[in-house]
Amino acid sequence: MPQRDRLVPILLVVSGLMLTASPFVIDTAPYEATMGLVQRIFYYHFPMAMNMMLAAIVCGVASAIFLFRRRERADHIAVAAAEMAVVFGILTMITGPLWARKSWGVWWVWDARITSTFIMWLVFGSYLLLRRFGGAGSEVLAAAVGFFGMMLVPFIYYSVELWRTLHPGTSVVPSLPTSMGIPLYFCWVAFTLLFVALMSTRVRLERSRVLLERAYRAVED
Amino acid sequence: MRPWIRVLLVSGLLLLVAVAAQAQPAQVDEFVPLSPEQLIAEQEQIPAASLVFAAYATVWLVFAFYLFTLWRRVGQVESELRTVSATLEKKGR
Amino acid sequence: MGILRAAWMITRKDLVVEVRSRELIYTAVFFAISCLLIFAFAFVQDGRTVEHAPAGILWVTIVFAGTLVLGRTFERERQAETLRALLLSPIERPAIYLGKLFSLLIVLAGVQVVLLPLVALLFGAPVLRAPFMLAGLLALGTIGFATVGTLFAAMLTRVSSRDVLLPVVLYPMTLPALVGGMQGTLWIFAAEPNYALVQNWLAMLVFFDAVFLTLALWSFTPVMSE
Repeated sequence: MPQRDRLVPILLVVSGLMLTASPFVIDTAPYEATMGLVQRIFYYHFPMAMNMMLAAIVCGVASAIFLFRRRERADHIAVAAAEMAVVFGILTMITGPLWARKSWGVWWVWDARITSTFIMWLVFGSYLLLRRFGGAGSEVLAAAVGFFGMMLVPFIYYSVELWRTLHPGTSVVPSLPTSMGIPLYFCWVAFTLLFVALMSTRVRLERSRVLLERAYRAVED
Repeated sequence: MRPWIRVLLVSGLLLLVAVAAQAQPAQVDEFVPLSPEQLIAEQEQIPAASLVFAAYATVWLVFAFYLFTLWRRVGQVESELRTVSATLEKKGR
Repeated sequence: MGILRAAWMITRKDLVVEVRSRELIYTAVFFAISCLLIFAFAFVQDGRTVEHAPAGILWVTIVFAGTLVLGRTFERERQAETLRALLLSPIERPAIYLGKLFSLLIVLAGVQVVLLPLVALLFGAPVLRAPFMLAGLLALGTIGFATVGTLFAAMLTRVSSRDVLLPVVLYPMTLPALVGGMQGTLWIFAAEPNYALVQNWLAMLVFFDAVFLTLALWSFTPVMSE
């Protein structure tokens, strides 16, 4: 598949260039009134969180397809997306506290959004653990976890919001003036391109791994 | 991957965390907005620049590391696949 | 044979086994009581319980006891190879799921019947304050937990690391149901109860249970087939 082979390096180069340029692009945005310099973290934190959500949905849909239709490619996509969710999730939970430390004075606040991210991260982490340690046939079991995990998202958000009802924190994402919008979209696009490149590579790895396992079994026969 | 590379990366990450974690105040139960005076006082404690730097650097490092491991594994698996497929071809299957 | 009738047959089989051996109910209740004791040392200081702790204590104990019972019911099936027999039989798959779910709920109800008075006694929780709301919370929260738990426990029966993988996979997935139960209970036990909030939680639990029961019924067959 020569077209596929060219896509990933192109995506990586583009996103790499964009990310290298990002601090300068971000610099063009005005400083936020109360938070000052540290709000710059937001330009990375927000795309991390959004891509994690994207990964969660992709994993859920792919898992459902695999669970009910047993299309093998869907399984590869599901496991790749789960890994993306975990990686982007970890980064969301690192950049968030680094920002919070400055703007709110503490490392962790049980803010509705970050708590929900934490729970989703656990769900997809458990997906990966199940695949890794579940032995043979765990792909189908994990698909149930991935599918349920996606359906869980609205419930998680609602429960955590309701839990926080009496002590609402300041919204982490205030409304943005356009001068801040451009760097934000720039970073968001850069990270989404990176996401696609990583997904593509991971899916390819999974497919090759499965083919290899089959080849080994054929040799043994 | 060579063990020393792993050690280096882990140490680098831990170092970043340690730098950022210099002054940790007591945990508060709920979020209390800082007044302007408190904000300035806080800003004097940890420079925002190091937090921003830590955030950006962590993101880049993690992705670089992840991408690197992915590419290596793809290379390994696919070369093995070629070898085993060649063996199968020879066996005439 | 209708699905519900088939399910009831399975439930009855489990109950008969349980009534004869009483293994699950004794061990689960005893375990729950030990949990309560550990929580006492965590949350009781100077003879007074930390505010808002009893609700959490109650629910965490239910979750731990529930995990034990889940593991044990399916372990029994696995050892006797009855699960495979059930799957091979002409009984419709959803009936097997429902049968196991009902029997689990009955055992857990038994545990809660003992647990609730104990929590009231040991931690001073006002369990009689809003009995219908509390019963609703307990029922709906436990159903939410058991719905997902039965599916996951069944699907993990074949897996060797099932004992550790079940909680790993189950707890994040059932968090909304557990949060609903805990928070609802908390607001009934609170010094100034907030019944409007409790009703919000009850409504969320109804939704959660409906959605996940449907999902579990849908998924049981594909997940359990080889």
